[in-house]
Amino acid sequence: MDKGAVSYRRYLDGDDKGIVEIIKIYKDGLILYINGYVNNIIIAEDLTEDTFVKIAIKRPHFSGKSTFKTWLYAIARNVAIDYLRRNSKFISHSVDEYSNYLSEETSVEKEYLIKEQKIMLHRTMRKLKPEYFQILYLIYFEDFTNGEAAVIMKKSKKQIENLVYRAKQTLKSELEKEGFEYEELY
Amino acid sequence: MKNYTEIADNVLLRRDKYFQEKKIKRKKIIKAASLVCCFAVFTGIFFIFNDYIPSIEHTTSPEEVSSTDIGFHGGEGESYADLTDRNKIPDELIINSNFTGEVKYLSGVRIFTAEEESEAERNSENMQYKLSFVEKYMDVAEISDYEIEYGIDDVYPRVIFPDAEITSFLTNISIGSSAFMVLNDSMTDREIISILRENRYTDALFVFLGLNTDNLYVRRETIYFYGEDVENDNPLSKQTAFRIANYSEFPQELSFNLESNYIEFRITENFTENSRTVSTVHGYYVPEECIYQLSDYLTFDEAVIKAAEKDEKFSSDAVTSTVVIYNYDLENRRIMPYYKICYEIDSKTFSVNIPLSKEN
Repeated sequence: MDKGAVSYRRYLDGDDKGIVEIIKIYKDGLILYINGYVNNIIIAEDLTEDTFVKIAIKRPHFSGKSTFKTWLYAIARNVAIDYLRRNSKFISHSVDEYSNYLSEETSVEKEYLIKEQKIMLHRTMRKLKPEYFQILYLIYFEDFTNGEAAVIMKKSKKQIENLVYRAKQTLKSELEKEGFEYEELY
Repeated sequence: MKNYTEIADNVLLRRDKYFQEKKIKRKKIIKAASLVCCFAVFTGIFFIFNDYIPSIEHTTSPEEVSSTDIGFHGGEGESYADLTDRNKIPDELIINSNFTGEVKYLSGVRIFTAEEESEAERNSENMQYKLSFVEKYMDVAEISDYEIEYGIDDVYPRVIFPDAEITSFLTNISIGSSAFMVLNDSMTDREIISILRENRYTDALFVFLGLNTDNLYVRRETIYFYGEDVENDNPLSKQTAFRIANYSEFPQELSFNLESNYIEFRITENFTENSRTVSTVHGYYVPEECIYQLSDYLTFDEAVIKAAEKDEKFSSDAVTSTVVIYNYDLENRRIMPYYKICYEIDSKTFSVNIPLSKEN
């Protein structure tokens, strides 16, 4: 059983420290992942909180068929998609707001991604279309396998393979535009 | 940015608030229910004491209200067909059958279902009931290597066949919510039908429903071609044509959807820069009564000519979609298949029904 699953079990048994541990472990990764959907780090942070609230209130069953992290990311994805559905007509930001978001995003990036090269890669990935960003983020930053990413994104393995292929191709050309050598990064 | 302790505090606070509100709500409901009860009792007592209630001998006799009457009253408004009852098969059964051609071995079938709420929710009678259909279907399809996943968004059971390999397929161009089919000129309706008939899923589905795969039709639709700007509703051109795309690297996914009054199989989906592409073929069930009609039926093009004769306004350029429907024919006293051809003039939609049978 992975660490998240153990903490969750503890929470279900009545120990609130369990959920605090889960938040500590997964918070940053989830914020960056959700940001791939909503493109706004402040909202991504709120949605991450909503994801944890959903778990805390509804106490959904975790079957253990996937890893706890996969399961958690799948829930987060749904929270993000729900948000986009609800707000699809109203999402717009001013330039000032956007520059604030960028500085917030940079600080999360720094905390979570650490390595300079990874930060650059992450930034280049943000230029790709959302679906490409999401899959590359899951696989290269969160170390999910194709199978796990398929569960999170509710796609078949084959679809994921195709998506990864196309995303990589696009990333490669983006990186080359920025003057990077694609091979160096992997 | 908040640190993890701040988020944790918020989460726990919101949780406690939620449960507290729930508690208050429950108390309010109980309070309201008690008040209603008290009011009802007092009103009853008031009527009894004032002798307002006439004796039973003076009212309608009990025979006039039967359980059947009550049942009909409640049932009349139902607009969907229940798949559990094979006698209530819908007029139009769409098998959104994207799996044309050979389907190779598949494994690791997954069924997604149910909001991931709680054990109780998942074990509820309703959910078990829904799942039992899927399990029955899997049984008929001789698929045993499946597992059920309690997904997050799926209210209705949905089956995913992740490893299904399709050697040929038909492409739909989908823009917005409308899907349009593109088929191969060289592929006739009959060829498509025969592929569908041989498909193991079609077969299983039909056995499951107690139907016969000999009775399958394929529908044709008008294709709209759009430019770069998908937001723009005006198509660059449109044509009624059948074409088949060669197999490419399109991702495939077959799903079995019990959501509505029809059963849908679909392969989704490829997102290109400007459009979403879904591949589907639609097959139709023809009721047993109409079997003999199938040997000689009108082609779509012939139906269009008939439609022009029948309806002055009709023009083949204005066709937007065509489906096969089944209406009860009073004269012949049986259910007959019709092409329902929809067309659009000045942004208004009209339709004309043309019997499939050449005899009519």
